[in-house]
Amino acid sequence: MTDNISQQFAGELRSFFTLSLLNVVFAALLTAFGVTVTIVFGIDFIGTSMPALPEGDISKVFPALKILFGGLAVVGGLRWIYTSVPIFSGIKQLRDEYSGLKEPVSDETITGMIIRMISIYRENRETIRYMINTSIFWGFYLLILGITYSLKFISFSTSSGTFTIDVLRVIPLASLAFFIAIVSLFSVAFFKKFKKYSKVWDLRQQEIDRAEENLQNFLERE
Amino acid sequence: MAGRRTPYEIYWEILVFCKTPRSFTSIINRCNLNSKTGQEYLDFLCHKGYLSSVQEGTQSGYLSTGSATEYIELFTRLYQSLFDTIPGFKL
Repeated sequence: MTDNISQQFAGELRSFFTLSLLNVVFAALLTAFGVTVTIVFGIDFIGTSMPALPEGDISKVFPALKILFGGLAVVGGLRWIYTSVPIFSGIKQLRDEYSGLKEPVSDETITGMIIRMISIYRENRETIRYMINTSIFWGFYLLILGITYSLKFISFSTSSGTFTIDVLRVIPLASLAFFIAIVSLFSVAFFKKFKKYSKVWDLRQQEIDRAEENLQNFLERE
Repeated sequence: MAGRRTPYEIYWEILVFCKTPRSFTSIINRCNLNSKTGQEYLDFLCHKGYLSSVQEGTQSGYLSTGSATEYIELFTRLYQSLFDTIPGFKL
């Protein structure tokens, strides 16, 4: 039985390690993109807002909002990193320890690892729920931010009805659009995977709660 | 072992660790407990007969008893069954 469980445990450990790593990468991308947007729009804003604005001119409100959205992505990304890293480092430590074990893994060793795994889940349950709830939001946020950023390189003339695309930036623009689409898809994948992970461990926690009664009865017997 | 553990998990860790005689300090270090709670856990296990005090030269220590083996087996079975009865998580 232990060999089977050991293999299953190793598989789950690998899956969750990959998920945690991708989560940190997603957070880093969100932060990096937020920084890029803030700087690019910030430079534009500073460059065009030097002359005094005529009273009632609101043409600078939209660029300022774009900077604000970029800043919000930075804050969101940094917060995401701050909450993701402890989960990632906990699971990495467990994975490293497991890889250092010699086969066959004993019953007690694997049970100790299961306790560690459930402890990591208990400790980070709220964080994981937060991630489940916000991953789709940040995915769409990134998509909107990316579209706004992409539009910077396209100008539209209302008088002639023509589009002008900065040719030198067409390839980066296409890459950016592709990148944004992938990252947004990631957010949906995160949502689903974290939800599944959470569901599996919630079920196991319920089983543990039920098993505790048995353990208590056993320990309390005279 | 850090993280949030239930008392039953901590009992299991102590009993497994004390299969060979262990000092109080090594138990609290290994099981990541502070002195006060560590002492409470050890007192409970000694009182219920799952641990016995042993003397090794000038040092005293703790050793798991036969009843502890039963608890360890029950606990191990229950926790390993979590992977048997519930479909696992895969990417």
